[in-house]
Amino acid sequence: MPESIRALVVEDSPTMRQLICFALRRIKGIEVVEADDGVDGLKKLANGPFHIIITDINMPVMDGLKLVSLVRSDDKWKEVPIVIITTEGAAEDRQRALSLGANAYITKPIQAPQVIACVKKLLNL
Amino acid sequence: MSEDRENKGKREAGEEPAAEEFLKVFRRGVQFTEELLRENERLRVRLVRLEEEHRVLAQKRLGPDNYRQLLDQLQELDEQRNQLLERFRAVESENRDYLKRYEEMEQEYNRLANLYIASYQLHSSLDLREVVRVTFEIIVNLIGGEVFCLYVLDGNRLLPVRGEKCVIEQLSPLTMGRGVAGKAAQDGTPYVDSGNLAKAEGDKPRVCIPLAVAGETLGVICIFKFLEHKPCVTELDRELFGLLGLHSATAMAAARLHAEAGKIPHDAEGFRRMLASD
Repeated sequence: MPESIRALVVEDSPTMRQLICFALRRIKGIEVVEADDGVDGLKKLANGPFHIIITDINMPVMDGLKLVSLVRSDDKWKEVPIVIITTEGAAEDRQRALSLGANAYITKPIQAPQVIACVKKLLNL
Repeated sequence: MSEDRENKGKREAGEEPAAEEFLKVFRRGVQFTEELLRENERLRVRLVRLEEEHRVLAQKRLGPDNYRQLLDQLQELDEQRNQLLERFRAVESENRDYLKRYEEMEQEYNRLANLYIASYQLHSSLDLREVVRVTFEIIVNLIGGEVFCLYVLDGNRLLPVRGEKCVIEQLSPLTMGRGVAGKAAQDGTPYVDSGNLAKAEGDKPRVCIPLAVAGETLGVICIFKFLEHKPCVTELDRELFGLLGLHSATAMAAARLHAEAGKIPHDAEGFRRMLASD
C-alpha cells in the first residue's frame, strides 16, 4: 500500500458525503475526492489513481449499482475495493451490488468508526 | 608292616597321590592369587575414580559465605522480579486507562462531528426547500428515522406540510397542547417513546421534536417509525433532537424571512442601525 491513499466518495447527499469524508480523513495519509453522483464519480475516477471507492446506491443521474458495474468492467479498476452505503431494508440492492463486484457495505445511519474500520480492513491498514 | 608293603606296591604300580594333591592345592593357590591381583587392580581403579570425584565435589562445595552470598543474590533477583511485575501491572493499567480515554475521545469526536455536520448543513442555505431537505436527510442518515412528518403551527393547530414515506393528506392535524406531539410542541421538550422505535403503531409518534426559535414555536417533527435496526435512541440522537429543534427552526425561519424579503439587504447603514438599536 502506498504512503498516500486516495479514496473516492460518491454520494448525492451533502450531509452523508460530509460525514463519510470526515470519517475517512481520520485515516493517516488519506486523500478524499468527492463526487455528487455516478457520472461525476466516473469523471473523477478518470483522474485516478484511487485505492478505494465508497458509493451510495440511490443517486440521481447514475446510481451506485450502475457505477459498480462500470467500474468492475474496466480492467484498470477491477481490483479497487468498493464499499456501498445502503439502508438495512434495501437487502435486494445490497445483494445486487455485492454480486456486481462490491466488496463490502455499510448501513445507514452510518457512524464514523464503522466507515474507518471497513476501509482499514479492505486496505489492510 | 602290611601298609608299607601296600604303599610300596602302589609306588611300584606308578600311583603318586600326594604329588597330585599338592599340585591341586598349588594351582588353587595360583588362581586365588590371580583373583586377588585382579581385585586389587579393580580397587585401585575405583580409588582413582573416587579421588577424582572427590576433587570435583571439593571444587563445587560452597562455604557458608558463598551460600549466604547466593541467598542474598537470590533475594535481590526476587525483589527485582517483583518490582518489574509491579511496573508491568502499572503500565498495563495505564494502557487500559489510555485505551478507555481514547475510546471516549473517539466517541466525543464522532458526536461533535455529527453535530457539526448537522448544524453546518442546516445553515448552508436560505432556501426553505433545501433547509427542509437537509432536515429530512439528518433524520434519515444521522438519526435513522424512516417514516416521519413535519407539522407547522397555524393558529392553534399543527398542520402536516411535508412527509417522508407517508402521505400528508392522510395525516390528521394536531392541536397544540394535546397528545404527545401537541404537548412536545407546546413545552418545547422532545418526546421519546419507550417502546421499540423500529415498529410503527399506526399514526402514533415514537419521537416528537419541537421546532422553536427564540421561544416561539414553529412546528413539530413526528417520527412514526425508525429503521429496522434502530429500536432505541442514543445520547447522540437526543442531542441531535435538540439541535434540530433549534437549528432547523432557525434555518426555516431565516429561509422564510429571506423568501419574503426577496434578498439579503446590503446596506451598511441598516446593519449599523440594527446593531445600535439595542
